[in-house]
Amino acid sequence: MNDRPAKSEVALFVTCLADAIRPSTAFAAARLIEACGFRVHVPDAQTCCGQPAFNSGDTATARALAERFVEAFEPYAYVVAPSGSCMGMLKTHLPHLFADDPAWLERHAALAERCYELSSFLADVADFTPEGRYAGRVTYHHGCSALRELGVRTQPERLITALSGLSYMPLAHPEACCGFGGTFCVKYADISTAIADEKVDDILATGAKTLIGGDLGCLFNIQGRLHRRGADMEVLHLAELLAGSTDTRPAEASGS
Amino acid sequence: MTITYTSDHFKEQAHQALGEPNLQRALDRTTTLLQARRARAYAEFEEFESTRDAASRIKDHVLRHLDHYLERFETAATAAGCKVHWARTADEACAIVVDLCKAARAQTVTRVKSMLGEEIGLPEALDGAGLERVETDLAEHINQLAGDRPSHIVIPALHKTREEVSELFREAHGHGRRIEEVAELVQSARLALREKYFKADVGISGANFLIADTGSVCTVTNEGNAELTMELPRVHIVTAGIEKLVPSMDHAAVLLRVLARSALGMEITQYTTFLTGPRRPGDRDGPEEMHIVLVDAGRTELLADELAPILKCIRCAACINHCPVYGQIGGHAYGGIYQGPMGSVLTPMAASLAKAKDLPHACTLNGRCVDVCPVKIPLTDLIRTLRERIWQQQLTDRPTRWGLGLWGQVVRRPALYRLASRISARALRVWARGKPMIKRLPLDGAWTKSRDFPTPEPGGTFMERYRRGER
Amino acid sequence: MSARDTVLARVRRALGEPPSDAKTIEAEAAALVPHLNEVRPRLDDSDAVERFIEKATSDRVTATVERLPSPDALPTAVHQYLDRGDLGPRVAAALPPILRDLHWDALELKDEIDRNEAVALSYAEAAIAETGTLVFPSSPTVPTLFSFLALHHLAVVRADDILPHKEDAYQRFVGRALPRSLVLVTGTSGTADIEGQNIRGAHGPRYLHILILDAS
Repeated sequence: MNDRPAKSEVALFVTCLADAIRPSTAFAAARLIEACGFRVHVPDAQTCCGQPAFNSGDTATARALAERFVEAFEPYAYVVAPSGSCMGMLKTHLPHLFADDPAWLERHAALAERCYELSSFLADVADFTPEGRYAGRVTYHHGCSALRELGVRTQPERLITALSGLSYMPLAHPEACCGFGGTFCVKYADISTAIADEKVDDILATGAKTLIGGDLGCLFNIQGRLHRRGADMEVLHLAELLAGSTDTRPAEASGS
Repeated sequence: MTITYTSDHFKEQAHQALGEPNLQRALDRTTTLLQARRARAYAEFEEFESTRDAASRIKDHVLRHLDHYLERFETAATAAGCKVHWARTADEACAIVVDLCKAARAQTVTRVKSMLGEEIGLPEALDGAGLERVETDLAEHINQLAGDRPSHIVIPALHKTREEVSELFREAHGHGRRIEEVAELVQSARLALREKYFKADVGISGANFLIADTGSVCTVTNEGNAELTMELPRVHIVTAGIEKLVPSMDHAAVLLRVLARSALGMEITQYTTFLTGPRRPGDRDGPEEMHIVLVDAGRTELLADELAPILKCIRCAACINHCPVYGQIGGHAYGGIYQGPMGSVLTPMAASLAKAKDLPHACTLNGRCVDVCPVKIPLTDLIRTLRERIWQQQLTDRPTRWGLGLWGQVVRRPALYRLASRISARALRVWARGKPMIKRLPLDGAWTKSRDFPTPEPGGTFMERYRRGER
Repeated sequence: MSARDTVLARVRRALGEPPSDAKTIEAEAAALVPHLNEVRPRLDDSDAVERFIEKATSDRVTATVERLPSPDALPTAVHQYLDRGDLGPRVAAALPPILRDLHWDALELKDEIDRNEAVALSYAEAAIAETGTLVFPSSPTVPTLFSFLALHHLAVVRADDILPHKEDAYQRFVGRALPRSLVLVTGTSGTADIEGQNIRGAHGPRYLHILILDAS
């Protein structure tokens, strides 16, 4: 196909949470992608993946955002997001919204095969092996969308354990949800908290000092509960861990 | 009899459940165990995935040709000496059963737990007809003594701790002892129920599968109570949903292999029984009459609906056992007969979407239920379909509607969206007053009731910093 | 319209398409499971009897198994079981004539089973190695209740009748009417209803002792 964009052009889907709350994650993601020899683009027309609308039943809004996404990201060779949840939406759920429209379905299908969650892009497409160092015990929380919608299972751990100086302590229940669930966590806050508590217990039981994750939604939920419970733990997005170790400038872990 | 749903009080019921230490203890003990057992059974059966594929195909096929299989089953079961009855509604099904009990001049009826029976309100109908109803499944025996509904479709008394069961048995079994060991509790029930089996005039059971080509009814149990209920009384009545059909015994074999593994992590249940007609000449046991009541009660409506895949459900409870929400609140909070993911699809259809609108939303969409479903029901898709209907029928609460409506207008406009992000990030930083974590969020405090929220990083949003050339 | 006709009409309306003919549906049904090896555990080349014993005595099935060189050894084996458990000489037995006619002199064999019978002895027409399962088709000779009432269930099966898979057992009924009741027994009456703990002897047998008769 000669209208395909050059293989080196990667569009970054920033995600709402990285954009507004934790830009470090998106900067780290961009640096990692560039470190792999790709050129990073940040399309201006991007907003939200549409999950809040889609998961609330407002398919009209979700559909409008779906079309916007396809239009804005079609020109690039790859689309990468530092979130399994947003990427799960963009890659696997958009066809539901285009179900009655073969033309959009086709356009989306062509784009979807070039869409990646960050860790799978780094590990599977870019064949990236981090060379840095991170001293300490870390554990990893798998976001449910990455795990089950995208089948991203082994990539994060492969990347983490490639760093030197680090000891990796896996969770006892890696398949368990953290209780975030988008709007669920505020609509049913007490159930969400009870689920988060089990996740927090699981994390603390590993003895790790740093929690890594691939989804800011989950991470904010877990970090919020950890902090409220008075637990002292550093919480990093995988991109920050990896970029902090490959780059001279360490990622900013928290605001202030 | 139409049963009463309390799903409209989901939030209060869930809140209450979270604060019940006995329930929490029971849930912790059981769900963890069931997940581990299923994982072991999965790992030990190399062909699990291909068997699961076949199981799913079989259920799809039967639903696609349901009329054919219903007629085929009716013909075969009738030829074997059964009387086949049809019921359009729950009330009609209960009336048929009660009339059969009356015709048999029954005083005592024994019952094997069947979720369909619970769904159509059969226990209440039997009680209402003045019959002595004896639940023989151990868990249902406990529930009957406690006046509880099942809180789990496979382990209906999952909400009870051994201490609570001990208390119930102390009086009901007349020995007055406070039993501590589970094994002794089971023995206490064995003694109490044994006499009842022999006293019963009618035995009522459900069906796990109806075998179309032989007219057989297949039930699986571990306790062996089904056989004592089905074999001993003079009349045996089966109530079964019309979706329970399978083409043949070989097809049932495929489903049986995934059923027991998914439910309890077993290769097979202790007892799998195929009943084909009543007592035959020369037989020394078995009922003189065998009746099969085929029940619609909303199933044909589902069949015509986008939610039709839920009719594939074989009631194994794997989705329930792996649901993080169920794991915290147990079954009663759902306010119906079915719980967890499958219940969140079935209850809104049975009770009404308005009444059960919380159930499809009380889900994190983590998708583990889909992964463990032995017949590959796309539960999260069905749950989203219901959310869409809730939205379309304007049943969503007003603040959420307005909030999402406003948000929808903003995210459709990239420039406005970037502005809104900038403003909210700055506002939150001001609100945070230099602290790295926010203890209480403005406007909606639901998040910060129990969690802190990270303060946005300094310097503005990613989009503005990136545009300024920061890398 | 009768309830039957209404339900069938609703089903047809829901399905929309005109019904396929029975032949087409049957062919489709047969094609649903193209390869049996994909829908059941592969049993390596080990002997079906050995696999059956392994499964039946596993911690999940909890039966005990004894292999007898010939049917003649059956009465002694039963006697010894009763002695070991101090169970007395009385056994409710449902056996085919050839086994019923063995020398049972030291024991009291009853053809009826009481509601609180201690020991029942019954004949399984087949067994399934896949899961360690016994197959009891009901008949005037072997009524179903013999597998369900007593606390001790002694089951007799011929080694030749131990088949690899469920489907092999079902094959035995092809071409003849299914028995009124066909019961697959895998272990003893158990329950996990209280806190998920596995307890045996819920309503029926707590102990299952399987006597395998080798050919002779």
